[in-house]
Amino acid sequence: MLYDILTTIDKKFCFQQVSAHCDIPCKIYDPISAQIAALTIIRMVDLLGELQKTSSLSLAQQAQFLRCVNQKEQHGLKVKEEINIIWGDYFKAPQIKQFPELHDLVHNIMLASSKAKQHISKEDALALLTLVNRFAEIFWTTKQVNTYIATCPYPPAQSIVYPALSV
Amino acid sequence: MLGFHFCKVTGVSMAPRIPENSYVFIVPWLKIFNLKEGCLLKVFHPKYGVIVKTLAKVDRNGLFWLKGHHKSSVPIEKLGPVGKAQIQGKVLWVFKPS
Repeated sequence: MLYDILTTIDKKFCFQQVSAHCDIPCKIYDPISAQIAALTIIRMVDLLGELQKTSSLSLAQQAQFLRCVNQKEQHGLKVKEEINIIWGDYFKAPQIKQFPELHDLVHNIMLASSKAKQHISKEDALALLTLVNRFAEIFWTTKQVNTYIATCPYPPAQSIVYPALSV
Repeated sequence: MLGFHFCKVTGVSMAPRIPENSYVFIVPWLKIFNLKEGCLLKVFHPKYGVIVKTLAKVDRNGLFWLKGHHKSSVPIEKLGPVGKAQIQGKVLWVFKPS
């Protein structure tokens, strides 16, 4: 009864609201962000490789060099962040039991991402993409979604694991 | 002005102690007395705004650590400690939706 009286008063005078704040589990997870970040690293390595061909860099090329290095750094961190979120928030005991390699795989992604950031090496960047693709494959399998491998329709035109979603 | 006021609770982090849409009766001046662990407080948090939480601990520096009750509540270490100036009152009664 008291609650009903307060509801009536609230409707008339609008009490201040206090939040009982939560970390709401939004359940929106997709490894594509990590895959695109890994692709970006490869693309930056390619662009840096093109700059390497010239003997001296113009001012514009120096600016591009800096931008490419910065982007490579940022996307290396993004791979780590995206993978960590899915690993920490989405994967639970049943999925880890299904894929015991998961912890090692995530750790290897962290190492590969650091390596890709440290060097301008296409080999390292491709190794990172391979690991992230494997992670995506595991992720979609745990969601009972089939996957297929296709070449992404934009540079650096590398193989990506995509979910086979039907309409 | 009256020395007390009502607030409406949004969110579920205090459930089941304070279910969502409950009304709480708050007495601001009661914060001058010794606040015991387990009491409910209305707090102005720099990140989360005006929140209602349970007092988990008063540390040796006199800072107040807060906690929720629901599993989805922001953890105590993420909320961090608050000073007494940020406490806006003590919850005396909770009116739960029937």
